[in-house]
Amino acid sequence: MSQREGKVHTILRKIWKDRFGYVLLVPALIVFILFRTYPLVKAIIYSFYEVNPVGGDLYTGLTNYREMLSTPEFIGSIGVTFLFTIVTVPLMLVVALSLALACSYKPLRGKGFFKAIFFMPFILSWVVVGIIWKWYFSAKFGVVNIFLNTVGIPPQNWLVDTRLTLLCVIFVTLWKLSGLFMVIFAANLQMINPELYDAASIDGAGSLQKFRYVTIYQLMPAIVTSIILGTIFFFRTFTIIFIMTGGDPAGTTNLLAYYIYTLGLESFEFGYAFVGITFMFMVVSMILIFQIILTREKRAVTVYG
Amino acid sequence: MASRFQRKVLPLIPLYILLIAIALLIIYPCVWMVLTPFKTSSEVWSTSLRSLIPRHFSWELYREVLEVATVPIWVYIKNSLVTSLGSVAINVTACILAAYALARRRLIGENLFILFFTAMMIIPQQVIAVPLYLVLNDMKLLDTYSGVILSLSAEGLSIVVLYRFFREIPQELIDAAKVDGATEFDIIRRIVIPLGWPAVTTVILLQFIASWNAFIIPLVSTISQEKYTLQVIMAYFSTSLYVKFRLIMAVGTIITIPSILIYVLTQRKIIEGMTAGALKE
Repeated sequence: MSQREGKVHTILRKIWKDRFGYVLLVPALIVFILFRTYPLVKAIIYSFYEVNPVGGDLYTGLTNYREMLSTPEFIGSIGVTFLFTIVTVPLMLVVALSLALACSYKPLRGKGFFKAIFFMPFILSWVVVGIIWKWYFSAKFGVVNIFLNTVGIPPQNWLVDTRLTLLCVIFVTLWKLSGLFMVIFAANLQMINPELYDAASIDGAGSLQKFRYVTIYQLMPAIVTSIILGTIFFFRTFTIIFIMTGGDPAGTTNLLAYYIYTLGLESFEFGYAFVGITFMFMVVSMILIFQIILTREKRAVTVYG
Repeated sequence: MASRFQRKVLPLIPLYILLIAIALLIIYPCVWMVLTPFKTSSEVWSTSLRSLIPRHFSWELYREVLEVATVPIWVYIKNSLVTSLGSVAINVTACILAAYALARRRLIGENLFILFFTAMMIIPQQVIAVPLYLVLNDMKLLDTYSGVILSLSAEGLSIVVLYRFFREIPQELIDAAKVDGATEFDIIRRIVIPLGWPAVTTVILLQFIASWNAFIIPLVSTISQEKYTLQVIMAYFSTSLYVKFRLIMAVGTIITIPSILIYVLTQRKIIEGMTAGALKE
């Protein structure tokens, strides 16, 4: 017992000795806790309350949860969000990996130029991108229909047709973000030791086998990272929906982040919005825990946008 | 010579065509956005592909946006600049101090703090936006510059990028400075910041682009139109997309110029910073 007390004592003494180091953390901790942690915790706690913005919140237990789970829009929104994420992640992997392989192909000239162009949409704002493509997909004057018309495909009602709108959102998401993932793959491709390919050749591997057993195998950590990063990115899609579709037609693009926003700041049903937020937080946490287990890394993926 | 052309260049042609097609798919919408305000209103509605390039360049609309008071564009430009630069100042200062402490001080709980900052970075802004509105309201920060700036400043990428860079600074330099009687702030100012300058500029640029492009945070934390940022006013206009189209594209161009300029000038830095966390070490 006294030994343990002694240990606690040494730890406390070390913390006291390092107090200046902890002081340096304080400004960052204040900003992060007040403007990230606190809103999140508030949302989780008040998901059990009937929230009244003017004052006088009422504890209602699981009522919000029960009511949300019997709301068809919420269930539909979860469904659409998962569908969107599950379709977009593999498409993004294929597009980004192909672009990265093409841009890393030795005899090709202008690799840097192509890479720079492909990455560029990432630094544009979602608002600008959303507005451009909203116009492009508009039925009458949209460039997409004009272009399709010149190659003989009849015009489509892109943002009205329930079968097509989600596809438009997926397309624009890929347009905006593939470059980021391409850059991740390209950087990892460069780090593959060329001797591995020589060794594979000596063992008599063909180019397809080399691709599978050397390239893909060596890229595996980057692929896992990109899947997780992409899942988080696509899962939280908001602005493009706000600008391009408003969740329409018939809720087919009513992604969760957008639905929560409309619940909270358009209908002022904060309690319901917080149930949605708690759900989103749980999904994101599970993805992160999954990643930490999968890659056995202490750090989480660290890209934002 | 001909055989070399046939052997080396010819097989690459389909690949070039494909890559140029994709590059056009990316560049065309951007060029089109910049050119649209130069067109006459009838050209905007034209349905031929040739209408990309306006027949008679007219600066009329850009001048209208920038000079005439139909849209108080300078108010929004000022709001965007103040909030972006403010969040850069706060975020980068706080993150330099924290990253130095975590990278060089061997604090107890170092990993726990790193985990906290990365977790707070991964929690999407979209998730905390609605409660953030209530929190800002409680703090009387709703519809103020401080509210927008502080909410935008809580971005953890800066800490992660700086932390990795600061760990590589040789300990001997820091020890030598300590022997000479330098205080911790001297060490940060005279050694850590100069030696970590590449990382510091990277996080300044990334944080600027992130807050300049930020949408959901300024959307939920502003109420009156004279506090809107460029992104929010542009989204607000987009509800009447077909009426104000050329004007919206002019505002879009103005929004995009700083990001593109920064990207063209410092492209490698931006890409390296963005992939910092996604690389296998």
